[in-house]
Amino acid sequence: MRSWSVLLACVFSWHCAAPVELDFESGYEPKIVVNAEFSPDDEWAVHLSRSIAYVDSIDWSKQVLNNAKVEIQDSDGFVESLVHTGEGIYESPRGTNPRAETEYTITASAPGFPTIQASSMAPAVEAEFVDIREITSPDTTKRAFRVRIRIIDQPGRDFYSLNVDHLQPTCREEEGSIKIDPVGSKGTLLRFLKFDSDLREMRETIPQVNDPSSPTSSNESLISGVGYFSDRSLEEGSNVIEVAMSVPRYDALAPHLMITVATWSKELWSYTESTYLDYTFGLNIFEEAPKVIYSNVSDGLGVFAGINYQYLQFDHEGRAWDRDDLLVDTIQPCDP
Amino acid sequence: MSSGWKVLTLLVLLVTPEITAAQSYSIHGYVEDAANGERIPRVNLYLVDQRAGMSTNDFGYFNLNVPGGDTKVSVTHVAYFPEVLDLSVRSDTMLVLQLRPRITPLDSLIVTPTFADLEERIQMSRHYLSATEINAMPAALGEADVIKALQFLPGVQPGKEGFSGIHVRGGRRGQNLILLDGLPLYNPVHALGLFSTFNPSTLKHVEMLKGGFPARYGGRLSSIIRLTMKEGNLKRFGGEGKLGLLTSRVMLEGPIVRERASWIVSARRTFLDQATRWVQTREEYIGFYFYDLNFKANYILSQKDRIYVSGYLGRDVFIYRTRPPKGISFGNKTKQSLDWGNRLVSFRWNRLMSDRMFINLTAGIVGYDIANRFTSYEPGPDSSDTYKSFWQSSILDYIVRLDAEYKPGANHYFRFGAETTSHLFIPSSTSYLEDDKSRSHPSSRFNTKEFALYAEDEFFLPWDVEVNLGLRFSIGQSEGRKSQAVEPRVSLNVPLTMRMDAKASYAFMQQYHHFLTATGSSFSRETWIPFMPGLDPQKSSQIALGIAYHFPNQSTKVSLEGYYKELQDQIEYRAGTFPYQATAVGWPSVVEHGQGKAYGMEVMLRRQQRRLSGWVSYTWSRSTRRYPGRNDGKSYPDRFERIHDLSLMAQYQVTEFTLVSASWVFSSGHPIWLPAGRYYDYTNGYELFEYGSVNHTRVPSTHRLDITAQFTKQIKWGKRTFSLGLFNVYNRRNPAFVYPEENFGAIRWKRVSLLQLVPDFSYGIRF
Repeated sequence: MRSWSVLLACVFSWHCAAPVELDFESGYEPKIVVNAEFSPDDEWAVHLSRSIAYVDSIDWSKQVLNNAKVEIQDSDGFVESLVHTGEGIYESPRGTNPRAETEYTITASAPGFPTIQASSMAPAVEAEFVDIREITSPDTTKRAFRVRIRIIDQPGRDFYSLNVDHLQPTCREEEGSIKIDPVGSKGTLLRFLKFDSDLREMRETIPQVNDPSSPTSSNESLISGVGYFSDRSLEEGSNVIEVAMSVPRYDALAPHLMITVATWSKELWSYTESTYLDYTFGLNIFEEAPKVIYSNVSDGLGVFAGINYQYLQFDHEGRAWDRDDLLVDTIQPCDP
Repeated sequence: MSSGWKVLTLLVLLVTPEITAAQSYSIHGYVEDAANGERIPRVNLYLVDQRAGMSTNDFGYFNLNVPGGDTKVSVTHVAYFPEVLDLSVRSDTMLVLQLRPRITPLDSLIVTPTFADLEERIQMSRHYLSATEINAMPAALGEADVIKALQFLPGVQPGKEGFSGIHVRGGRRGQNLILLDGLPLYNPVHALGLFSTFNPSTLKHVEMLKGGFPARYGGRLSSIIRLTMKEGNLKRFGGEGKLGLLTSRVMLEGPIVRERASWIVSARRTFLDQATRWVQTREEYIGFYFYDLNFKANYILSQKDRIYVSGYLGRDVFIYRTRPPKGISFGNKTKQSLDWGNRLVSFRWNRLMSDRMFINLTAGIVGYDIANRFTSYEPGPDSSDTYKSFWQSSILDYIVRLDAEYKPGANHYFRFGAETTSHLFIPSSTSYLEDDKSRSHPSSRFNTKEFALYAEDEFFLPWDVEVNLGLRFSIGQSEGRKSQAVEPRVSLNVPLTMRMDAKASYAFMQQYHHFLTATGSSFSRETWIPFMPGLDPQKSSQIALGIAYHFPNQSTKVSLEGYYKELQDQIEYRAGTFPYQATAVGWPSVVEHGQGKAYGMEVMLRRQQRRLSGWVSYTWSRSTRRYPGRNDGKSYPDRFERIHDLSLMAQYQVTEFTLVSASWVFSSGHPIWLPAGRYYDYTNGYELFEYGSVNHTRVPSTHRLDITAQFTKQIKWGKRTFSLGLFNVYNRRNPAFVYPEENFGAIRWKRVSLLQLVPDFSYGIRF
């Protein structure tokens, strides 16, 4: 029996993978790649690079485009030329910001590449804090709250995200590492919180927003940091949304929260969805239809798309707080 | 009155005058095997003086119309000694003819045809393989395989090299109607496609239609594959057994009541799981096995009635298990299993209703399911963590079918019938148990109904032009939606000379369900779904033209066929979707809708001679798909398109007891959708791929040579056969999969060849 088994094993090992190199004809023509996620909070900044043939060696630092001509035109016809500030980044020389609800078109050209063009806008965002209520926490190391916020939905605001963060007192140790400092007050960092929401369609990923059968925040699990939803789950006009979270107790600092509401352009939403799916599925050689990465760049790749944020900052009693007062992102040495 | 009923009525009226005007007598009955009493399908009965004839049907039934007086009937079949009957006909006569089987292996290859295969005369795009032929072909891993045998035929292409996929004239796997004793099987493969589900010990013959479908067949777009099981020896107890490298099988048969009732049972199993136990460890176990069981019994109630009961049960089981090393009380235990299988039970009743009419009633139940189970258990000091998941997809069909054959006059055949199927589709059912909390994605269950009526009229026009005019009227009901189709079918045979025929056919087919697959990436994405609101039944129209020439020696035939086929309402998964999403958003939302087109030319030269038999076939074919959401809406080559396909099959009888067979196949590479470029998302910090146009690249062509030698010896109580074979003799590394490998930033494409040079041997007995 053993000799029979050995024979079988030999036969099967013979079947095992035998990699042989293949030469597929490439003939690939590189394209301009745009990375531009613009928001009214930030000045214009566009990153340009080039794509390479799949089989070519990678050194991404050498693929940035430093010699392109880049122009941004708004819906009124106003044109602004962006200038190269290094590492493939093109910025507004006058430090102008995009405006919400304004359609912008980027045109970029570089020697050896076809001229590319793409359009998008940053939708307006209207959200406000309503109230906060402390509820019983099953965990004595944490305090639990229910927060209500109001979101005004209007036509054209189709896609949303919601982040919940809290301030964590933090200091830097001698060797440079950063640690929580529950008793001192040496600066703070924003840290995400898991939260629950009464919004039926809120999900942790964009593809899940289109899949109501996927786990929901209300009856399955908490959302970690950021939740996505579409205007399908909102009424046109005013919508009050309840968000529940637990915040760690710190002696040095009472709970300070920040809820960020963002409205997404369709272009950025589609791009982010496709990159998520691509990441999830990976390069699956058996796939009938691999996920094609969305791009709104004609004759090019990447995305030029708007997003708009509104930050609601309040403490456990509903009072607004200021970043500077609480030394947000300012880390000081820990006490010896 | 719908147009379907009108045409049906017209066909009935066409027949009626001949019923009254007929002046001939009917010679009808059955042809049986003299050795075991089994009835023999596809026996040619030829009226020598009238130059007309017919082939027996699946149940060995024939019905010839002859003028009164003396007449000569030639009776031939490839596996039997020919007979010539001198009959003096004075009235309608029933005959039970017995043919003597060719006894020695050498005999079995002697063919003395006196005329062309009568069934093939009107039916183009048809291939017939007997069990003897299939068993003599070189086989991968030593196991004769029906589906792989069909892959040698023109117009039939495998999906992946070495696997039992069937893609016929640009169609997909789910578009083949695979009938085992008249009932459909949904998944015809074992071992992820390495073997087909059909035990060669129990098969009598296989017939394949690629086009020109008669109206009696419907419900699939691309092919009809009919497998007929043996009936069981009516005269004596017998059997056969075979020990192979990967599979072993046994078949037993015998009379229940001598000359009146018989039975046959067979079983086959892989012992790979048992044989590889010694390489498994306590911590990790990987096991795989499959088995199948067939049974059939029949009873001759009277000269006019016979009943059959047959069944099939097959299952594949793959298990992967891990557990912590011995002595360690903590750690994760996991068990994953994937199993799938078909089951089928059929009851059939044949009856000679009159001298001119034969009916067959079939009733049966067919089931198919595939399940994926995962369990993870981790004991802890205070509590344990358990996670379980279960996914299943299944189909359950109840089928009733009535087929009638009526012979109103000489060279005139009329067939009609009805078929009804009740399907229960559960395309995807998922449940989880985690931390004692269970949840499930709601199952989508579809109770659907199909009903079809058909009529076929086969008759001759002047100049010996033979016509088969048919109409099938089908209705489907699913999820509150009804769909119906009038499916016209026409076949034409025009004799150009004594030896040359021109053929033409047209067939419209409607299929009320879809097979969704991600081409093997994940079994959990392979599923059958019915049509429903937002998801139309799929349809095809095929035109075929051909020419066939029989060489003067009568043992060689060459045929040339061209076809053009359009496929409508095709579906594919949208990228990045899962079946469970469909339960919430509906199947139409997780699929893309498109169309297909296929065209090509097929040439086949087939020779059946005393010592050397075989064929050469060549296919040139194109197959494209067009989906609005892909490739900018432009047409692109189908993933399974192989432009050139060449097959050579030869069987040489060296001595009376030694048979050598060899096959060589060449297929040009199929398209593949690989990334063309890559780029970097500097905002988020990851690399992305640009795929370019769909299926823009092709994998290298495949070719291989397989050889088998069979040594048979007569022993005291039967026969034994020892087979030696070499699969892929010159060790061609044909690509089964292609994958990228990165080396210092550069990427090279590599291929994986699964089936390289493989020796095999088997030992079989028959008594």
